[in-house]
Amino acid sequence: MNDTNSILSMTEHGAYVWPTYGLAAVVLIGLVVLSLRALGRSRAELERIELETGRQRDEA
Amino acid sequence: MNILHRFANPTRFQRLSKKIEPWVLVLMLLTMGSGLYFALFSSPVDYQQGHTVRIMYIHVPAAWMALFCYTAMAIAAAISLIWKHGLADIAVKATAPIGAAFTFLALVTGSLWGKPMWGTWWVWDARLTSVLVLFFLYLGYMALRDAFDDPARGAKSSAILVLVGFVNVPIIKFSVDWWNTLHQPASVIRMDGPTIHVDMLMPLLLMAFAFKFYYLWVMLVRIRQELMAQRIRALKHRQAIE
Amino acid sequence: MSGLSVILRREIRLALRHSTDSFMVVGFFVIAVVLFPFGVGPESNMLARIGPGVIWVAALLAAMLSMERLFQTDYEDGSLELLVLSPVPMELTVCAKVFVHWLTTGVPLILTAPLLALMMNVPFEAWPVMLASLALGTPVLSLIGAIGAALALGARRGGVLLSLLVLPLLIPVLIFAVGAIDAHLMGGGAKANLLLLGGVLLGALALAPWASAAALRQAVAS
Repeated sequence: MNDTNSILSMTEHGAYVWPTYGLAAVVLIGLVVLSLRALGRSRAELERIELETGRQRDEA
Repeated sequence: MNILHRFANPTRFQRLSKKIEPWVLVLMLLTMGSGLYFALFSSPVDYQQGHTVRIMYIHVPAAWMALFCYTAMAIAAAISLIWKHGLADIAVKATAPIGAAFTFLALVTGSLWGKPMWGTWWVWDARLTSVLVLFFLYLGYMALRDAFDDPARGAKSSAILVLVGFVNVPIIKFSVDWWNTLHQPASVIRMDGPTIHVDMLMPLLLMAFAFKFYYLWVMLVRIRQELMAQRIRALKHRQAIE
Repeated sequence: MSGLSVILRREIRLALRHSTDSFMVVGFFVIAVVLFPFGVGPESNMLARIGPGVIWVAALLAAMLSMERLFQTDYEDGSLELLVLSPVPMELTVCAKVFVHWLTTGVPLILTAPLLALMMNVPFEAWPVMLASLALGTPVLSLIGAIGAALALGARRGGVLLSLLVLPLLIPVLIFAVGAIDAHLMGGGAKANLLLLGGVLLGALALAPWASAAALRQAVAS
């Protein structure tokens, strides 16, 4: 249908198409990264607190 | 509503979610990959629009998701208020940033499509204006939820806001039918069936499914995170008492 | 009905005691509009062109400023709890409060509008439509504002939050109101836009008391 060359240049419309896909990638991947990092932080803190309360109960 | 309450149990939900998530991720990557391939390489150039038609494969599914996420939030908010269902409430909180992201993409990619097509970045027609209002509703939800020291109050107040704002959704859907202005009328979800060519319909539907799987996967991750955060708060509270 | 009239009379009494609030709302309205000739230049055709919109936006902002106090004092001194528990349905209590709020905010805005229309060079022939749009629109501001006030009750930065929540919901009001005035000035009828505005008012009358009451019960229960 279309060869890769013309896709990458896409005449003057390329200036609109590539930022579209680029922005979508940034936003969607960014949201995933933020969500996974929050998940990791919560998991670490939960383990830390469960250890502490376990220790508190043992000491009590 | 027995089935709803079975999954209100956080531990059971987290177990189920961890089993489902890898599959959803795989489906998302498959549909996203094939959708992007067809969208960027193997689909035809439009007779009038040239390559800019490829923007449609991001813009239209993003707009669909903007509405879909808000509708999902409204249903979950209603369930959380009526049946006092904790997990439904967490689902609303988890969905909001995803819906906001898709709405933002719909607005910006719409501008990027509008400039080469009609020569303008923005126009105040009914659909664009009501989608902008939708974006503000998402942001308003997130702001209201965070504005209270008591998390339960924030949850319930923002749930009511979601329901109040739901009047905007039919306005968005039907605005292109009621007001004949710049944004084009529906060509896919119509009573007579789609008017779009199948070569363009396929990447469009693939990207639509990709976005749906994306939403499902990210939402599950965010729900698990919020369940952990809840447990942390409860344990800290207990710590403070002892 | 006697319970409702007691509540209504109490609201009116409180409003009369705090009558300076109305003056502040009108004061803000006037100042906000007056800033525009200074900001965009005094060229009369341009002021006339933007006049209806400027007046309406200023009315919106002035109404938002006064919204916070709708439930705030009752919430802080505990009377809100009593109102929720009283035999009068909360939805009717909200209607009474909104009605008095409109009397002390919306009506002064309507009465001040001709003066501002004069300053912004809005043609006389547009004044009836402008006043009609304000008469239909200002109650909607109080109604939708009440929802925001109830939702944000007790929140941090409640006043700003309230405006951020409510102003997007009021965009249709702005569109139809200014649309009516502009349509009239351009020769077409204002009827379509005014009817739509009336429809929004009816919708707000149906939705706002219910949503505000739900939010208020929420606030009191916490």
